[in-house]
Amino acid sequence: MKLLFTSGRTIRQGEQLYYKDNPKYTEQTSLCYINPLDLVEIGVFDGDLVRIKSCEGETVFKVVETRDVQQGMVFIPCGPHANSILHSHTHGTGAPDYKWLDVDVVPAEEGDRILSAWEILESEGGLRYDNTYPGVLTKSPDGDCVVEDVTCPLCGCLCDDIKLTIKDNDIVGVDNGCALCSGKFLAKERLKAPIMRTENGWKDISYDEAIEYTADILLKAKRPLLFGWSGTYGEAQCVGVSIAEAIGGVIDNCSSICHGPSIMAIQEAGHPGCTLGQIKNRADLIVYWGSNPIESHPRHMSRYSMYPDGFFLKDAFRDRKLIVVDIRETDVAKNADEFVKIKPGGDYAVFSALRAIVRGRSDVVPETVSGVKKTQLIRVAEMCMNAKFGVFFTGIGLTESPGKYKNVRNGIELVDELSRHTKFTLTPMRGHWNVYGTNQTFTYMGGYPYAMDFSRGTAFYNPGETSTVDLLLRGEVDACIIIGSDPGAHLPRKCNEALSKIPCVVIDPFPSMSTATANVQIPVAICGIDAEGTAYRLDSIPLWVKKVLEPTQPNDEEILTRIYDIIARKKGIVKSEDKIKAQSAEWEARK
Amino acid sequence: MNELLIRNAYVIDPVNGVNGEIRDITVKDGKIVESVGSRAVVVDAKGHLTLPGGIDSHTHICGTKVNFGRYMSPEDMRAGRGRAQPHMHAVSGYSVPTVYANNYRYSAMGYTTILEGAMAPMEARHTHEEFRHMTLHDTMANTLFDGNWSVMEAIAEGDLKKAAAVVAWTLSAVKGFGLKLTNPGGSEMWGFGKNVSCIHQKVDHFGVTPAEIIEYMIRANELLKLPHSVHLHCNNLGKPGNYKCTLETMNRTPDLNDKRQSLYLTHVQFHSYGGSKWSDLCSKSDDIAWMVNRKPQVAIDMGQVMFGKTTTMTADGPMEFNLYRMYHNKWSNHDVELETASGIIPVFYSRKNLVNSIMWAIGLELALQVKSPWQCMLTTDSPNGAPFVKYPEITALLMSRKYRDEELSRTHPDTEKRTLLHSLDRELDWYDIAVMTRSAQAKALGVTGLGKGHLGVGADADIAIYPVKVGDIDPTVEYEKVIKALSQTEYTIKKGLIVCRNGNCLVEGRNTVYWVDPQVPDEYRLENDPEFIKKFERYYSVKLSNYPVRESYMHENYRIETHPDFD
Repeated sequence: MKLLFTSGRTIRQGEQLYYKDNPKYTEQTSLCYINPLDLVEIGVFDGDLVRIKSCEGETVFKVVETRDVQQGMVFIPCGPHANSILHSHTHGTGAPDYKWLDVDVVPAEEGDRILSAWEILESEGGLRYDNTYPGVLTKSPDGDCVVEDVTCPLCGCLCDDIKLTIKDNDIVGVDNGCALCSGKFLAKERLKAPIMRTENGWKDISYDEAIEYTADILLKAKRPLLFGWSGTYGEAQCVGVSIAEAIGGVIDNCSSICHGPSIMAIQEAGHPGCTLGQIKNRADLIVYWGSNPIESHPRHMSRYSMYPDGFFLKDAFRDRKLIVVDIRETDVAKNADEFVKIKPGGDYAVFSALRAIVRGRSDVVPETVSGVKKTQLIRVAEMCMNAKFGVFFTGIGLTESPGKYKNVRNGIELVDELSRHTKFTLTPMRGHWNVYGTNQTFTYMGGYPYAMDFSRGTAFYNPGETSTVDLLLRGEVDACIIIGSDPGAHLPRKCNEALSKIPCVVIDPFPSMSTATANVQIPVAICGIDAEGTAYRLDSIPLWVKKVLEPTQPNDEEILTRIYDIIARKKGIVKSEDKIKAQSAEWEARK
Repeated sequence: MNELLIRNAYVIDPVNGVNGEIRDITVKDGKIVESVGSRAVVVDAKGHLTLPGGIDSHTHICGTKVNFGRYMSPEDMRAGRGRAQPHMHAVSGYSVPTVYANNYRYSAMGYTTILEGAMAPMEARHTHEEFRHMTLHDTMANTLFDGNWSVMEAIAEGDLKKAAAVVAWTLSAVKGFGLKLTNPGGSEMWGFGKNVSCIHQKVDHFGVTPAEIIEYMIRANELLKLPHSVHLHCNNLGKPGNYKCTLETMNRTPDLNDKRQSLYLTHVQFHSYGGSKWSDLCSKSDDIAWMVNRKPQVAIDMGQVMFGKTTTMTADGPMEFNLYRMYHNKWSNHDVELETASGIIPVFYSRKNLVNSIMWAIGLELALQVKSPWQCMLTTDSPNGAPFVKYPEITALLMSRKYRDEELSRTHPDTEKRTLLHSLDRELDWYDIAVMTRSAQAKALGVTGLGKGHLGVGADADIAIYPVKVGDIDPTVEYEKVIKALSQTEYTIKKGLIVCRNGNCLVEGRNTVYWVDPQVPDEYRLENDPEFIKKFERYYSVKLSNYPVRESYMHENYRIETHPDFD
């Protein structure tokens, strides 16, 4: 049966982010959620296996029956299974069609089985690594202690009220955090030493060898790519930008596959926003549009939008209204005062209809728009105009479906329109804990928030051309550094196939799906556990992410600085202290 | 460290009353000294114009708002791109340059100390992160208090000391330098999409007026003995007829400090408008200058507008939205909880546009009518009026009536009817310019004693040598030579190190962040106030313990401890 594929976060998938080599991860990313009426037509039941085929390939999934998904659609948690059948065309935006793919769903055949995540990566040219270190890689005085007000390095909420209980050099308790947060703080099984892929499998190498190797492939490459960054801290990102500049490479971050289109929209129309505290103290209307915070930002509603005390709200919980706009009836949608269920790809038209109504031109709006009744649209527009302070939280439901950045732009223009009547703001639901930080550091260092290409000697930016998926699809990249991200799990098949063929170094504390495509992986201390640095929350508030244990491994900044130093020496770039010394020496010589 | 001997310098050093003497300047360990030994390195200034390093007392270079200006404007980034040089990073950005571009371009113009004009306390860490890369400049940040809830609550209670305590705690927590008010009261009102009109409208809920906020903050500032005065962006920016609001604000200013002004009014060009709507907009620079001339307790900067493309950015959120409704290009807004607001839009100032032509004239008129250059500093409120790279052109306009007339003739034909620039004969000299670009700033910021803005013994060896012999050119006629000379130094020396030569930056380092740390009595320390802690935890979206920028976060920094008298 022909269905429309859409992928996204689930909390169960999110909990396994640091356990990707574990079968539980595979279990979560190989599910597919289908409406019961469609299941009848396909001829399968809940729990059965199906084959899902696309233009790119096919793989086997396990069916979950749900009425939350509209007829005609199949929802798959994001991960290697979904991406193994996704094509890599971005329509000039850099972001793949994670939420829009025509697929054929048929019952599985005799002997079909679900492939593990590792098997998927191996089918894309990778090699699994399953020799993690069960021991503890930090050092700390033995005994117990509790660290309060820790900042959580998981999602864009950057909650800074986490309480960690540490016992004998080990984090054993996480209070206040959500499931995703605990998943990360409690994750063990890190990589102990740098590893290198050889003809006979993986072998351990020294940090010196790994660093030399990395500098070497970057120096030799014609079109090197430095990708990821949203899982590391600002100080390390700055070194990354300097490396990219020194080698004339491309530096890109995860925005290019998630909220890059939001940034493109902002570059066209601007961004009427505010900090999250402004929202919790004032907002009486919260709109989540194409965003599912319960799964992706579990504490967002309790800390910043629906449930906290608000200075200007007497009874914060009752005084706030919630609107959810989505193609699926998510758990957030079930709690909404108004759930606007739109047909996939219909966001742009719904924004336009609302703009028309707000401008007093409801006469031009047809009776239904993208499956939404006009009466509901008028009700929603009135709720917006009657709010004292309203906010749109926009998710990747807008950026990865047809229209992409134009959807977000239309949303911004609706806010612009509403701002003539009341107070309204818009905040993209940035995903990774420091993905907004990558945009900040790239911008002040080089001028552009992502997809920055230094091959001309100056910084050049053109998402769709200089963004990771497009570069990999065109086969331009001939060496790649991956840091603070896991493209192995989150890029479409062709991209991973391309990465498997070129020299590729992963800088990451854990074995991840990207380990499979790497030639070398360098393990590092984890920011928030045994490393520290600056991160930017999804509303651009900069926070210090502290270290709670002492590291035995170098951190990202140290590794990158050593790589930079080798490159700088080979390229004849003199470091500042040396320049000062040189000036002194020149003076001495002149005497 | 090396000793340095600058020979044959044509020195203008207004703080020390030096006006064009050929001198030698001797430097040791980054400071100016009486003499150096025979082994000192010699720089021959060849009789060229030599000034203390330039100081910008109001510009926007580092922080959340500035970076958002870059982030939303790839077109502006592309307009200012430059390749990496042997000792310089690649740069981007024309009106909102990247941090390295700001660093190099200011240094090439002979500037060595820069004040970021508006830092939201909650986002201070971002400003300091960028400051780290401003390697050729000492930096400091004005800290925003215009919509600070704790300040407004203290004022509503009539408690000056408590208001001062809030300022003290915040400045030390965020490593800020000055007390900045941007459209006081207006940013809180903007939280619900409203604004205040001039200074007597009460702020909703808090029940205090902008006039009260300004007055309390001036008194609190002096109580805390801060080096700089209150730094005010007046209410009603950019509105026709706003000059009355500006005049009243100036007139109410008490004279509380004998070393410097008690109130610094920034980008006053934007606040000197007559008329009642855009169609009858006219210059009221004469009235504003008249007030400044009789009030030693105020100092202003120009906020000069120059024609061309730029980006406006300010904590004045409602003003930016109004401006956006005229330009309808793109608009960003960013309100900061419990503290302030901000907005950004790109603009184009056209010489064919009457309003823009009037704005251009007003800035120059202010500088020409304020009698003492110590009271009127040269700025563009960069990038709001124009990017700072336009400073040499502005200087040339102030020095040459001929140049002004030529430029005026190219503006909208009605400009003369609405302005008085054509009637002003004054032509500033090099000494005036030296005051308006460094010495007055040092005095206004209260950092002369820290060795800024002059070349006396003990001062920081921040020195700019420009490729021009003052006696050889007539700036009233040869304005192009003035522009050329001021656009690029022969030598920019920072703390005794030659950091930039003929536009090529040579090294990094030697940059310090200045911040203040007023020591208030224990009973006024906010961290001991349970009520403050309770409110903070309830209404901010970060934990109190994670709010302060720790000293260990900072690069090189200089803490200015003050000892207020709270008894």
